[in-house]
Amino acid sequence: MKHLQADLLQRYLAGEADLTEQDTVVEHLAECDECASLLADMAADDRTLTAALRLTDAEAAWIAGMDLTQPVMTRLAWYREPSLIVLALLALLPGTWILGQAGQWMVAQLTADGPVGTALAIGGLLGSALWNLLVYASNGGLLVQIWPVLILAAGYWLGRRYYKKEDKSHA
Amino acid sequence: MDERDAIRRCLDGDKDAFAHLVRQYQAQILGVCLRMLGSREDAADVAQQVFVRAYRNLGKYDQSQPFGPWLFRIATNECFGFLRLKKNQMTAAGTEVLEYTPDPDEGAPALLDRAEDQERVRRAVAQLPPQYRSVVVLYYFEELSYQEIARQTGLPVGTISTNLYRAKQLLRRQLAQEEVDPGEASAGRPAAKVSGR
Repeated sequence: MKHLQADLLQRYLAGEADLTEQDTVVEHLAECDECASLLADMAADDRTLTAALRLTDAEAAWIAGMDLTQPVMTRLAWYREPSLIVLALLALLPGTWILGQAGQWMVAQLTADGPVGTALAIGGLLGSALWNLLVYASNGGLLVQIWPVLILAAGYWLGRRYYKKEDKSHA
Repeated sequence: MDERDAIRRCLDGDKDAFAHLVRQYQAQILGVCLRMLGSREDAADVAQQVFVRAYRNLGKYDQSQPFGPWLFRIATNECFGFLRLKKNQMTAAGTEVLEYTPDPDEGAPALLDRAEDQERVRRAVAQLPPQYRSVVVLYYFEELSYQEIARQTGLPVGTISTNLYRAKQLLRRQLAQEEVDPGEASAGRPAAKVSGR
């Protein structure tokens, strides 16, 4: 006698076999003690697994005592949109270059003029930069320099608005 | 605030509304992670990661569908990822990992059903390969139907049935082997290679 496939018995046991398969299994089991015994073993295994995988009292108590809200919210507080991170990295690149240049200049200045000379030179540079900035801003030049930043910010804001609209359209 | 409100507020940028969803689902997610990973420490870490990932992907969530199964799918994937990483580490460390090999006799004794042996069954489940462990946990612990498991894991329904049967075969052989060689099993051996009989 050809025995039933274990896979079919598993589905029959789980109530997932279709009507034809159910009839086949019932008819076969009436004549085959071996398959009936296998099915009984499988059912016993199912009961064992259901009981073994149920949470123990200790595990249930551990879960009840856990509060993931705080750690999850802390991790989310540090979460930033990937697009913002890319923008920040892009902004960092020229910043790193400027810092490198400033470092080289400082070393050269300290070697040539010593600490006092360097401090005076930095003060002079900062004062001159501030003066230039004020003159530039009073002529309306500052806007010309920051327009790429404004366009980027506007693009990001519009993108966010569009993204949110897409989300709401799913609702 | 109900679940839908919380999701809507999160999508509008209110991170605090997400705390409501964490409180609502943390027990279930911790339970699944605990059964999938077999360790409280790992379960707590992965459960946190599940919620963080859910928040990041909330924009992709289809609000016409229930939230729970979507979150459980993320949990299953995160556990899979964690186990895959662990398996790679174990393989790199030279530890053998339990694998299914067809058993022509299928003569291993039935699983144990005494209460004192349930811990052994749990340990054996924790040593199953991820693809078998996930269906065992989702079917016996979460009590999901084959269809629901298929939706969560992305596997065909037929594969769920096959994996369940194979998982039980592996468990039977694993437990039978422990009985033959209890010293090695109780020494906390992480995993054993099951040989075909």
